[in-house]
Amino acid sequence: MDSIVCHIDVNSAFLSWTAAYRVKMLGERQDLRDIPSAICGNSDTRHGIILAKSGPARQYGVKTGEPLYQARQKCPRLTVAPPDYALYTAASRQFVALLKEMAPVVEQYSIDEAWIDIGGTEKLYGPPARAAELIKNRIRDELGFTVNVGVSSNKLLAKMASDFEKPDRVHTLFPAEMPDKLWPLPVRNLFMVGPATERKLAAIGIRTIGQLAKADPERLKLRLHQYGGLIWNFANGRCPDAVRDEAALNKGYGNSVTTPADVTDRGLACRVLLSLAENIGFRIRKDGQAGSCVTVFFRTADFANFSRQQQLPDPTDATLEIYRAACRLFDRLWDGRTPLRQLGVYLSRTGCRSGRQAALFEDDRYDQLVRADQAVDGIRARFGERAILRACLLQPGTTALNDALGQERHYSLTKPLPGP
Amino acid sequence: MTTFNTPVEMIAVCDAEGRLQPLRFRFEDAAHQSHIVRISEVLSVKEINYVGMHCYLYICRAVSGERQTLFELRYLVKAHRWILFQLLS
Repeated sequence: MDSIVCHIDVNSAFLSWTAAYRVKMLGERQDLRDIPSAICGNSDTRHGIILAKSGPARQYGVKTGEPLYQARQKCPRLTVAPPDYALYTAASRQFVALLKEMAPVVEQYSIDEAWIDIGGTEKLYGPPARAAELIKNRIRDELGFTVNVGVSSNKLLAKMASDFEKPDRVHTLFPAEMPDKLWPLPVRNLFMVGPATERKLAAIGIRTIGQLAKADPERLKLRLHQYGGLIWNFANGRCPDAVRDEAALNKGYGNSVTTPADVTDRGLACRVLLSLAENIGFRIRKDGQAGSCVTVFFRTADFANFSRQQQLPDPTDATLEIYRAACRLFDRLWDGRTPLRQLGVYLSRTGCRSGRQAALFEDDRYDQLVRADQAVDGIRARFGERAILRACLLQPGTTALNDALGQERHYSLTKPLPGP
Repeated sequence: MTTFNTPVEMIAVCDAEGRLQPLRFRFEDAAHQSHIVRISEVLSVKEINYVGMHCYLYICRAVSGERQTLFELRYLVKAHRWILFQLLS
């Protein structure tokens, strides 16, 4: 049975969900999707960046990720709404539940994207494009928001197809359609190709996906190493990954926080790192994994980024070990004076947690730490995320740090932090 | 059609099959005046799931003397709350 893969992508997810909630549940007449509008964090706590924007706002040049003041310069009449992560979690769960009703295999890729394999359902739903239309319309009519559906024979082409014209559209991109639909596109539209690669490819005369597809793979590997081979395969529509029911385990666990005021004191910085390590520890233990490479990064008040990483002697899932490694790295990285606006911790090189070799020369309290962490995790699972907190995070002026803890968005709404 | 979206206090009956039927509710208007509405008839019930918000939508009729009013009530399953969503006539 051949795979028929659909990639379903919610159009401007956060904005669509807020807009649909306001219209369908609060009875508001004005639909945010029809006017220049955006979902934006709170500027007072320095989270004032555009998280999602409407189609009319896009026409003014408003971009996701830019500061609110910049967006307002482009579009002074921009209507701004705050994010509602509880709503987004509920909407995402219902979105996936509906897909699971319709397709035998569903793989959620992020809060607003999923792949499904509808191979073998032709007698139930008809040809693939009609099945995709049915799914798209059910989501629109029953859940109140629109999606794009890309249909193809593998995950990569389905994802590329769902990115074509938006919103509320179905596009097919089977291998035979690649020369017409995929290859004329600029190379930056290809999955996994960012601005840096685009520049490198432009230097060797590759500007479209078609040019990349026809390039010599050995030459690409010389310039871009293994990654060159990967994007060459992508440009030729090759992707061996099947749609999996179970999401793959994370390759890394990260968290970062922009503090409400600049951090200029080591004690406060360490408490921030502790709250981040708590969050990472909780998530990695929940997945039964351990990681052995800790990365710390920070962004200064002048928006300069710094990062450093260290390989640990043994993989760990203990909050205190992650925290101590993060503090050591932080001390090496920070001059003790430069004001910091954002701090982050990332734990990578993950694998299944297994027994660990007893350390002969170090004070190894790993077993004790893990037992304490497990007790805390148990209390949080039973009585809520905020049932137990470290006393140092309750100090005046550090209450905002608890934002790094316990918020569902940190567990299920974001993908692992990319390496800094 | 007037949208209220006002939380109400509700007396409802839940039958052995788990079906909820609203009977009578009380709400405060914008002038903080309390009103009691006796539901004469439930015309339709629909389960909706907009944006993952699971709720039941009831179109009801209330008759008081010569006057008849149609309105939409909503029961929010997760929040266990009743809302007078809109007046339909």
